[in-house]
Amino acid sequence: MTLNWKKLGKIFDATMLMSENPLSAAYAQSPQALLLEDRIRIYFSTRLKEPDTNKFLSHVAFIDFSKDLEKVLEKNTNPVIPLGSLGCFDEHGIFPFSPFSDRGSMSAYTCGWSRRVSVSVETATGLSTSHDNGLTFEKMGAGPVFANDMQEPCLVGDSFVRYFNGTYHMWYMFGERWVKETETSAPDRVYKIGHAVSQDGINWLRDHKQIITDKLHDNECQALPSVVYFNDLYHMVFCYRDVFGFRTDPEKAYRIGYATSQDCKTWKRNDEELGLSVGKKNAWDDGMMCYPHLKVVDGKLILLYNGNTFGKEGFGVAVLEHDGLSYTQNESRNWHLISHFKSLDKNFTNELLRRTSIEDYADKLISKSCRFEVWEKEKLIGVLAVYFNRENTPFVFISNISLLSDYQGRGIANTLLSKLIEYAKNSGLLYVELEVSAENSRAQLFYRKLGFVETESKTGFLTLRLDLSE
Amino acid sequence: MEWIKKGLVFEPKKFGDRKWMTSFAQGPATYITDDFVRVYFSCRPDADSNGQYVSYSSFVEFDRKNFPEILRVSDAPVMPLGGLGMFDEFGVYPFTILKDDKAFRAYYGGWTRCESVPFNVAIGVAESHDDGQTFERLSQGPVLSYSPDEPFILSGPKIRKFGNTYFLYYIAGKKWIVDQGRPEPVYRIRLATSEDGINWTKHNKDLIEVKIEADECQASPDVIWHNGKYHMFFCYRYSRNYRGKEGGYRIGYAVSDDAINWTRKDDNVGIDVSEEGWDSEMVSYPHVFELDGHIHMFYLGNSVGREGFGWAVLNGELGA
Repeated sequence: MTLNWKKLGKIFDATMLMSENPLSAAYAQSPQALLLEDRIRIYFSTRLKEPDTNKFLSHVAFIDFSKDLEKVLEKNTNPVIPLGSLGCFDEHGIFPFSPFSDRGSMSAYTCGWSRRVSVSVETATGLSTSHDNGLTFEKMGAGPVFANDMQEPCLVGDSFVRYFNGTYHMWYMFGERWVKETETSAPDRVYKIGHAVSQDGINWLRDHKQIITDKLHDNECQALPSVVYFNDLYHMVFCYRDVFGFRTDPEKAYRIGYATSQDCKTWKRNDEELGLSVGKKNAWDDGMMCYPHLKVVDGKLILLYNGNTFGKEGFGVAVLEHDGLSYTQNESRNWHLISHFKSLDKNFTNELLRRTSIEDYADKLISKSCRFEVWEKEKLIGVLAVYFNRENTPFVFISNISLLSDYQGRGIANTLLSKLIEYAKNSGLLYVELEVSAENSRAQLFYRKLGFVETESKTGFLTLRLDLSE
Repeated sequence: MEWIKKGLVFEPKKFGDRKWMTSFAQGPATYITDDFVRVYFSCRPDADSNGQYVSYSSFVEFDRKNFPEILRVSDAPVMPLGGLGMFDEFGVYPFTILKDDKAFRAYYGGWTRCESVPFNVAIGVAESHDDGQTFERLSQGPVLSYSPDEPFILSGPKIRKFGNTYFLYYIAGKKWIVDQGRPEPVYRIRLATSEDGINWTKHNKDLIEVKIEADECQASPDVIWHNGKYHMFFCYRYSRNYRGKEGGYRIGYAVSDDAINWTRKDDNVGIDVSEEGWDSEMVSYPHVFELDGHIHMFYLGNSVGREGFGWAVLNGELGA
């Protein structure tokens, strides 16, 4: 089912950077978004000339846009994160920079570049954290958090991390080999997209395989994977190109690829279903589309990307045309939850406020839970928040399910829960559990209809459980 | 302790017909059978037109019954260098071996060349199916690579097995400094352990406290278990001006009850530079082993093994 995008065109012209800084070579590569309460912060990598070598260094900068992406609010070319020092994996550039703000912290996974001699570069992934709401980031260490290993010998990078179903997932690029078109050519790289999981965002277990099939041939180059959960499906965009001739021949240049998955494990590639192709003649993206990034902004799905010349001229955006409700996972931030809880009917909030404040509860859900959201027109109208416990007897605990009153009675809560139950069954979880107030007969009826039974009662509360093991 | 020096026992220039062995015999490691003491070492062909080297690993076999008479020298490097752009494209050095009931494996430093600093190193693993005469790398990529606290230069591996656990002692780079316009690396001895020799857990700490300066460089963590204790012989040098006697390598010593926590006791090492000769400016890269009732050491002298490696015998007990 082909997606329906509206291209907004190039929204940032990077060539203007050259008039501000004599060392700037323009470029705004791999735009990646961080959602703040009143703006979208788009980080990108820009290039500065290195005087003594005639080469370039990629530095991270950002631009703040209004939520509708129509207005630039602020531009920042001050250092967001320093390049690595002498001999370090990110000494010669950081590109891309991938913000990850979930689980109570604001982090970024970086792709660090360092120059080699027999081939041009090596890369690895770094991890850094921000303590000033995304203005600057501090590195976890001088070395990478994720680098080459036995089966992935070089060019590990482009790490993109999200938290899905209680686990951290990373999609990334890894190099397979360097090849030469002719005896005297400079070597060209071949890289593919891989996947790894983690319980802490630091120690990773790799699938150790290429997860996106080749379209062109064995030496197809795939990079910059970006994944989002949207309306019951995991969507991945990435870019791909031919191994040789891709700088000069538009037929071999980067295009955006697309794949979908039901479970984050196996991916079905179908580039045409993305529904986005190069622009018309003379458009800013008529020869190349690369470095794509999917982001949900208040329930709306956008695709940021670079066009011709690998992003030297800037970046642009397309917005998914979509009516009705959007279903997402872990796209809500504190202010979405707070506003949602404050809009719920009084019975719900009274019960919540007896135990904690709305702000504290929102913080806790952002830090610890996995949230399945329902949006309509940029408003968070429903949230199912759960905790996955995967130790010993694996189960999932429902902390919250809430719907704005206007949206009740339409089966939305039922849909959210049924999907959770189906996922839990398919992934080997033993039961689903929750606590409900002894007085809340409406909720108790709702859960009993789904097959939940009472297993325990404490003062004022019942524990309800749905056994999945039959 | 007191080591009785016996001089150079292997000189690569005597085997000049082997083009990959024009100079250097570094990082000696032994494999002992009933008949021979095989010593793996790393050597170099002539430098290229830019004055740069590559490093290969080879071996020499000494007659066990007539030590140190040479029985033979390998006819070829024990394994080829890595492919284009791989971590070990420019060198396989040093080379450490372990034979157990599972396999005959080697761990090695794989070298690549960089633009802003001269090199980087990561650790690879290889296996032999002809009892150690040749080895095949198990993978294109390294078995041990960089991490937040170990940003570059993972090298100098020494593999040991204590009980059922594999111990990989190695060096990890701390920083690059610039001395008289030249980038120089600073590195310290570290440890990783494993149950299978493939999946490693780094201990993420420096094993040997620094002594001579904050930027002390340490290498060659050579561990032997003897009489209830673990003994480490290693070498250390200054971070600057280290290519001569004043700042060059000396051999150090540390002792441990558990192979993990070490107490440095250089005063006890019992070996230093000689007044004159092949080891008058520096001594380094010790390898200590037991053979027929005695404790022996191979080590390197001036120019860190350019002329070959030498031999010393321990007078008395290890650690005494």
